[in-house]
Amino acid sequence: MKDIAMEKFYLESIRKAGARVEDLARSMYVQFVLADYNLYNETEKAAGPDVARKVHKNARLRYVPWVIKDAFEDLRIGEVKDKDVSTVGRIARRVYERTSCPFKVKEDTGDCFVGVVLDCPIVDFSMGLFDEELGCPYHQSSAEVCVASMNELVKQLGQSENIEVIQDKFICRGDDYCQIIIQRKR
Amino acid sequence: MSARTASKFSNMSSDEKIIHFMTETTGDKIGQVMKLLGRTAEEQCLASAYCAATYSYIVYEVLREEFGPEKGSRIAVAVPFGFGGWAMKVALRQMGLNDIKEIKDIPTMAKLFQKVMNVFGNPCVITESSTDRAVIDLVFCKNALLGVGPWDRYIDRVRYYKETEGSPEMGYGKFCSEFPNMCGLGDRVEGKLAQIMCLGEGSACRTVFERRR
Repeated sequence: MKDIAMEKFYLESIRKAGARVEDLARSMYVQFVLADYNLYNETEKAAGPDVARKVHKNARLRYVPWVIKDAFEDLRIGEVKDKDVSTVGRIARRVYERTSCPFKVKEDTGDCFVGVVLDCPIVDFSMGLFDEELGCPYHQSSAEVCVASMNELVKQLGQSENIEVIQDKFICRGDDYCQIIIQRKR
Repeated sequence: MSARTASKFSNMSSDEKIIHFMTETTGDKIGQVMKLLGRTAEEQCLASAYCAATYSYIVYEVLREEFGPEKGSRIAVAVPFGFGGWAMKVALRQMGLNDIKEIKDIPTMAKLFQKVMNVFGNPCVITESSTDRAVIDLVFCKNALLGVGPWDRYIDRVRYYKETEGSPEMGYGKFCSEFPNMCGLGDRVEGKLAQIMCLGEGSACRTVFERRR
């Protein structure tokens, strides 16, 4: 949970220890990517690719209720009204930004919200540090995780019957950007 | 993007790649996304801290759910494997050392330990340092202080802390005991985690390195 006083104390502690926030911003991101990458690979070694994808997805889905809670507080959302694709889109953006993936709103009409993820440091870090190729099993699993996260978000917001999410582009599968289309069901 | 990424790092040694990704570099990936996200270094530091801090407990929980407590915990311990070695490389570079064999005494070892833990994002302060003994206080543990989810049960977190952080067989407790060995000083220096913050033993995790009698 976000705690402003704790965050301030953290930044003070970093300085007191003679470390630099600029460096820690990077090293802790590497720590996260390493954990995500190893979670997939260690599980695959232990139980095969199907279980690895399931565990990878289960881990990342744990963030969804957390993002919703933070979004409701930060964006001062009382409730998500039926078929309100704009609000679902604003919360979806935070799912990506939580893992430092920059998100741009391409279209936001009442009927349809289109967002694009401009960059994915998880992909770059996994390729640079682990010599992975685009579209490797970890990346395939990552794409499935993103799809599952959006569907879980819609479900937890009680909009599964009204709203659908289409994801047709993925950086980890070789596209230049990820695309997320959130629209009213017809 | 794939070709660009591959060519950029293909000529780098493994150590250089690690240093590149884990420390501030002009035009690096985190710098690029910070610009796009409109984040300051402090904001990105906190964002990265939340990602890393929350994930270690999540990983532990989902693996236990899938494989049961024993096998799940065993795999969970393997998940962060590798980061300690990378943190060590970064810390040595920050100290201007090329090799861990250059560590010859307790004060230098304590300094390296502090820097390694700083790289982990858990800031440490050296409160005592002599040729016989050093005391290092980890004054902020991001897992315990930033990584708690809204619906985590306290009792489950305590179990997690006991099994991982506080255990002398794995996790941070083991790391503190093993550190003198890693530095090639194991025959002369003993290391131990003397106090654990997340188990309510004090306001810091205290590591003590002492000359063997």
